[in-house]
Amino acid sequence: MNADEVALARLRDADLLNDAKVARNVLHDQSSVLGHLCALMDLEMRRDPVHAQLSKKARMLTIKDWVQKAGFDYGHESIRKSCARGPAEIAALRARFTGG
Amino acid sequence: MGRTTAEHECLLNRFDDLLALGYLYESELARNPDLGRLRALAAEVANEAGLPANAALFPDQRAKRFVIIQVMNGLQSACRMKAPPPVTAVDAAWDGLPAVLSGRALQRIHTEQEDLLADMLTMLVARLDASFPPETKPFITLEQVAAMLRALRGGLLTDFTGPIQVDILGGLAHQEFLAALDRGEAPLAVPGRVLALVREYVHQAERSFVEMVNDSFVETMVAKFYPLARRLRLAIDRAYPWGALWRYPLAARECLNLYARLNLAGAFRDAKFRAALAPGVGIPSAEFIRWAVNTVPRPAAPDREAAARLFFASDNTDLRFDGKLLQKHAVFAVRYDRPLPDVEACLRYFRNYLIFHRPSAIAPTAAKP
Repeated sequence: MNADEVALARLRDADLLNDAKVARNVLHDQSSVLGHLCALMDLEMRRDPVHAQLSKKARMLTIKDWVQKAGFDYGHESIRKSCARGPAEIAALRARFTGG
Repeated sequence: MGRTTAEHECLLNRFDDLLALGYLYESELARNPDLGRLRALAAEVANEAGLPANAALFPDQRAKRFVIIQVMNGLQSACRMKAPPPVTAVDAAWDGLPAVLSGRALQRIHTEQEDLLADMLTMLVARLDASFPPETKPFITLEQVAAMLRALRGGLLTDFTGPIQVDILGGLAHQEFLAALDRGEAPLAVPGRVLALVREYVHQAERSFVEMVNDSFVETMVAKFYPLARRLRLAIDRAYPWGALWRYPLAARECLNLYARLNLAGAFRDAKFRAALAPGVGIPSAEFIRWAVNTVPRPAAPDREAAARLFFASDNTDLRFDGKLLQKHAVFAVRYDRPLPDVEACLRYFRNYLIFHRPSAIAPTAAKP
């Protein structure tokens, strides 16, 4: 076993990996992670005074730049669609957890 | 890593928690100025924790963060109960606590008067041995040992001048006395035993002192900031404790970098990831999970949490133990098939719950540390 496998075995022993069957609130599977991260970056930019004045297009380009620099090849159109889903995600979460 | 392993599911769940918190926090920030006020309140608590007088109590950022979380959760609980918890008396188990005492001063007393502590322990055990007939010695109780220790101190029969945690020293003396009796030996006859017990006492007493002062700080802060906190109206606090809301969650761009590093390490295999384009180094999945399970809260569904009652008193609930109805008991019950609440915070509230149910039994206020 390598060091990570040993560490994982310790986590398993400590019962920290016991939530495998927990129903997730946002993600369906791994393929949706990047899209949600883009949507969240867009929401944070709208609040952040440094980026709040940017146009929607400029925000998308900024996100694309960040995503590329992190090592992902994610298209402009995919980013735009992901960001458009943000408000719907929020509405669903608020309805479930805060009563709307 | 295979896509169906428990580790992979756990990694996805942690990202799910990160995203849910991010979405809900952003939406609350956009709609409700009270979340900003909650952050300002936490900043005031942080200022108090950062005062020079508290430097010894919260020596590093981790300790400071931890106490802020405790205070914020305490404030939330007080607001739910519509009253701040009473600031309780200093732990009555301490005897001779001066009005002002720092943890470092207590350490200094213990270091300088280690011999006197050893003398006191020896005297206590010798008195126990001499005061009871042989046939009753196996039945000596902890309370009797504690009473004898207090009598020794009250009669000025020991030279040790510092405060004493009676429960801890009495407990160690009691344990040693009964064990020696069991072995058929004289207590403290084993060479080096006295010093070992004194050092064990010092270790436990200093930890107990820090916990007491920490609890006292939390209670004082909750009482002080309750008038401000009670005006806050948040929707997100139905899903998260205030201790998880007092600062911004991890920014999405930082989450993106974490996700990239997990891909780089092979923990995730995102089809869009290009390892050649990624800077930095990979992060092992175990390291990420260990960090996330301690840092990223999971939203609690309100319908589930609303039904969760933790404290029960025999005055208004039938409490049975082994079929027998209990009288004048209170129980702290936690479901173990669901995510655990903040057990340490719950224990503090449970103490207040107990005090509420037996107001006449509150010890008279001793000196403040």
